[in-house]
Amino acid sequence: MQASDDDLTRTLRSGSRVTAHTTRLGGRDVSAQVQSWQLERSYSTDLPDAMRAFSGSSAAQLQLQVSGTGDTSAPALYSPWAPRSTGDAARPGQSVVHRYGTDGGVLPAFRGTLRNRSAASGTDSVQLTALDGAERLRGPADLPKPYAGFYWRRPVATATWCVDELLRQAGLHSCPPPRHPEFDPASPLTVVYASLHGGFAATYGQPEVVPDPRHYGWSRDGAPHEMALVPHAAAPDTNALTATWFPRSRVTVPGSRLFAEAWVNNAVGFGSTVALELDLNRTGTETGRLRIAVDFSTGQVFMHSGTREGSGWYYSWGVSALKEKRGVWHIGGLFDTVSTGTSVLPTVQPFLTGPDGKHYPCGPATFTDATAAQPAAELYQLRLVTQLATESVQLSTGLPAAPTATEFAQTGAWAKEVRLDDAILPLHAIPRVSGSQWEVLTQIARASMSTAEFDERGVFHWRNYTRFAKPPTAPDLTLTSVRDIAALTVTEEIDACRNYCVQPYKDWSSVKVTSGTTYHDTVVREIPGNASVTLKYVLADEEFDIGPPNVDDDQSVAPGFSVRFAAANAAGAAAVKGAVDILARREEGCLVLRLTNRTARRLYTVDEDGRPSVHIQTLKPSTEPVERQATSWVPGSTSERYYGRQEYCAEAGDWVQDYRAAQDLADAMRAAGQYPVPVLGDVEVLYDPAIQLGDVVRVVDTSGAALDTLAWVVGVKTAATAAGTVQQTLTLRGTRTNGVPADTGLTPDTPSDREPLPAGATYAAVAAAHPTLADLTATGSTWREIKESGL
Amino acid sequence: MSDEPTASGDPAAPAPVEITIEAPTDPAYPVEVLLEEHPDPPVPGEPGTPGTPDPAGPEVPGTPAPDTAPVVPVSGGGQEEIA
Repeated sequence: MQASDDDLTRTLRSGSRVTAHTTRLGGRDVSAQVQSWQLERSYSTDLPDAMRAFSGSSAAQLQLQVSGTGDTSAPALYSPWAPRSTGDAARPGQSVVHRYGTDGGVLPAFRGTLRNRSAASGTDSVQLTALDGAERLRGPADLPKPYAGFYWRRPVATATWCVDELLRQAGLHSCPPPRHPEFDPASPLTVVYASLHGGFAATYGQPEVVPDPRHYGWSRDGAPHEMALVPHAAAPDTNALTATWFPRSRVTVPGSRLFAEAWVNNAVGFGSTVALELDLNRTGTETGRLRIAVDFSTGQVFMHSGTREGSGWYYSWGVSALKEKRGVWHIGGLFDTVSTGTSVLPTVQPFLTGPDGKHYPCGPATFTDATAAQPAAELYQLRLVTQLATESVQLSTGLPAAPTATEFAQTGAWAKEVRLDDAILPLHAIPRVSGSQWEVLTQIARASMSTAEFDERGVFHWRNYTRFAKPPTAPDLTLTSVRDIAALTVTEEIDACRNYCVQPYKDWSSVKVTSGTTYHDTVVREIPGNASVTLKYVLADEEFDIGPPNVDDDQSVAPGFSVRFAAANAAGAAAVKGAVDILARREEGCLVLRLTNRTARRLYTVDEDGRPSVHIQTLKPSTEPVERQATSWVPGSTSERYYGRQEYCAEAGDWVQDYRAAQDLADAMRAAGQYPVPVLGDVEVLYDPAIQLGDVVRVVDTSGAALDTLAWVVGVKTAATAAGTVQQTLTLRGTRTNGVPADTGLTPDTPSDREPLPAGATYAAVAAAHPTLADLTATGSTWREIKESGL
Repeated sequence: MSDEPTASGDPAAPAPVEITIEAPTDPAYPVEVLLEEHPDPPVPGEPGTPGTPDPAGPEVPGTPAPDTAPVVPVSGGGQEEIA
C-alpha cells in the first residue's frame, strides 16, 4: 500500500469517491486536458497465472486521451507535425507523470516516458501511450566476464549482482556510482569500482582474489546503502577477510594522484578494522604498498607508505567519533604521488564522514622518512581487508586535487532509484547475455523466480521468490462484497498444480582453469614521449576478461600476461618501469590496450632479446560445466493423491550454477504449486489509489463465491473513461488454497471404466451351433463375428 | 608476418601520427594500431598540491562549517602500524 495522508485516508475510509488526477507531459501540467486515462500493471511471466506472484517482470502502461485548449484542437497542438513549441510535450520519449486519488489528495500512480502518439484530424483528441521506467532499460546489456570464479572455484557474483549492474549501466543506482566512469585521456578515471552488491565482480577493474564463501555473506540489514559484504570470519592465517581487484588501468607511480574509498558499517562484522591497500608492482619481486586503515576500536586512522614486505612509515589521525559513533561511515584516502622524479615521498590525507553525516576533515601529511619513498612502479591491485560490513569500494586516479567535502560525498551526483532483495544464485562464471537490459532482467527474473518492476514513483524493485514463499498473515487492505467488490470471478486450474519440480543447473564445482588464447605481438611498438599507442585485438565473445598486462623488468617476468618497455629498440636495452600507463578495455568484440607514455622519452615494447614484448593470455574453464538437476518431490504426498503427479521442469540455463540454489528453487516452486491456488480474476473494486502490485488484500465475498481469504495483488487496472468515474479492477492470487481436498461423501470414479465388458458367445454356444469345424468354416465368419454375435 | 622486430628508425625524427589498419588474419595480431600524441604531458595537476583546502569547509581551525568537524591534524607516526 502506498502511504497516504490523513485527508486522503479519511475520504477512502468513508467510501466516497470524488476522484481527482494530475497529469504532466514534459513537466507541463495538462490535467485539465485529459479526457480519459487508463493505467495497467501486471506481472508478465511464462508460468501459469497462479505463479504470477512468484515470477515475472512488470512494465506499467498508461494510456491518455488528451484534448486541445481554447480554440486549438489537440491534433493541432500535439500531432507529430504540430509546432515543436507545443508538440514536444507529447513527443515519443517525453516524460509523463500521472497521479491519481480523490478530492482528499492524490498519490503517485505512474512515472515514465511516452511511447507513441496518435492524432486523428477532425477530432479534438490525441491518444498517448506511455511506458514506465522499463523504457530506461532499452540499452544493450553487457556484463563482465571475470575468470576469478572458476580460477578460485568460488562464486564471483550472484544473479542479484548482475541485476544491479545492468541497472547501473542504465543510470539507475542503488549506491554511490563510479566517480569517473568514462575514459577520457584528460580527465580522472575510476579504475576499480566494486559495488559488493552480491558479488566481487566489478563494474570497472576485475576481481583477482575472491574469498572463501564460508567466510562471508551478503546482507541488506545494516548495509550502508543497499547491500554489503559482511565478513563472518578471517581467512586462515589472517585477521580479516581479503578481496582484491585488478584496476582497468595500471597507472604509474610516481605521477598518479589516487583516491581509494569505501562505505562501512562499524556495527556489523566480527571486528573493528577496515583497510584499503594499493599494491604497486616495483622492479624485482618487491611490492610497494599504499594503505589506509581505520580502527574503530581505538578511534584512529592510519595511512602507510612502504612495501608489502614490511618496511615503510605511517601517519595516524585520532578521531574520537570513530569509536563513539556506531553506524555507516564513509572512508577515503588520498595518495598523492605526483612527482617528476624517479621516486616520490607521497602525501596522504584521510577522509571521513560519520553516521550522522558529519564530515571529519583530516590534515594532509607528506612522508619524510626514506622508507616511505615509492620508486617507479605500476598499480598492481586494490586490496580490501575488512572485518566490517563493506559496500561500494572504488579507486580513482588522475584527480586534479584532493576532493572537497561535497565531492567526497558525491552530493547531487546520484539518486537512489533501486531496491534489491537478498543475493541469490551464486555464479562461478557470469553468463553471456544479449539483448536489452530489460530483456536480460526479465530473463533473470524467470530463472530465479523473482519479480522486477518499477513502482509508482519510478523506483525499481527486485524481489526474490522468498518474499512470496512466506504466506502473509495480515492484509494491507480488506475488500468485501458488501462495500468494495463490484464483481468477482474465481478460477482454479490443474495447470497451476506442480508437485514434481525439476530445476536444472550447471555444476561448476569440478571446473578448473586453463590458458586460453595467447596473443604475442609481432611488432615492436614505438611510443613517443607523452604519446599513446592503442592496440586493438580481436577477442571472441566467449573469452573471459583480461586486465592490463603487468610490466616486466629485468629481474622478474610475469609469464603469459605482460609487457616490457625499454628506451631503445634493441636487445639488452634496460627495462623501464613506472613510465607507461596501461589501460585495458573490452569493446565491440575487441580487447583494446592503450599504452600511454608519461615520460618525455621515446619507449619501445621490446623484451630483453629485442623481440616484441606485448604478451597477452586469456584464461578459460578447463571443461564445460556439467548439467545436473535438483528435484523437489515427495512420493505419495497429499498433493499427488488428489491431483496426480504433476511435473514441472524449469528451463535449463546458465543462471543456476549451484546445487543448493537449484534445490531451493525447486522447493519453492513445489511449495507454491503443490496445490492449485485460486486466481481471482477481474475483481472490480471500489477505486483505491493506494493499492500496489504485491499488496496483500483480504477478499470477503458473502454474496457470491462465499470466500474469505488473503490474496496477493498481481495485476491492477485503473481507468477513468468519463469525468468523475474511475473503475479499478484487480487480479489476485490466493496466498493459500482452501485447505486440503477432503472429498467428503464423494467416491471419485476410477480413471478407467472397470465394469467388465459383455462376455460374448461362449465356447459351448458356438459348439452347439456348429458341431464341427467344417460347419463353422462354412459360415465364412470372422473370429470377431463369432465371438461377439455368437454365431 | 615476421616475428622479427621492425626497424625503429631514427628516434630523433618526429613521431608519426597515423592510423594503420592491419588485416586480422592472425588473431594474435592487433587489428588496429592507433598512435596519439598528447599536446601536453598527461601528468595531472602540479606536484605537491594535495590537501587543497575544502571550499565548503572551514578556513580556520575551530570554526567548522555546518556538519563539518575541525580539521584533524596528524597525531602520530612511525614505522610500525597498529591497525
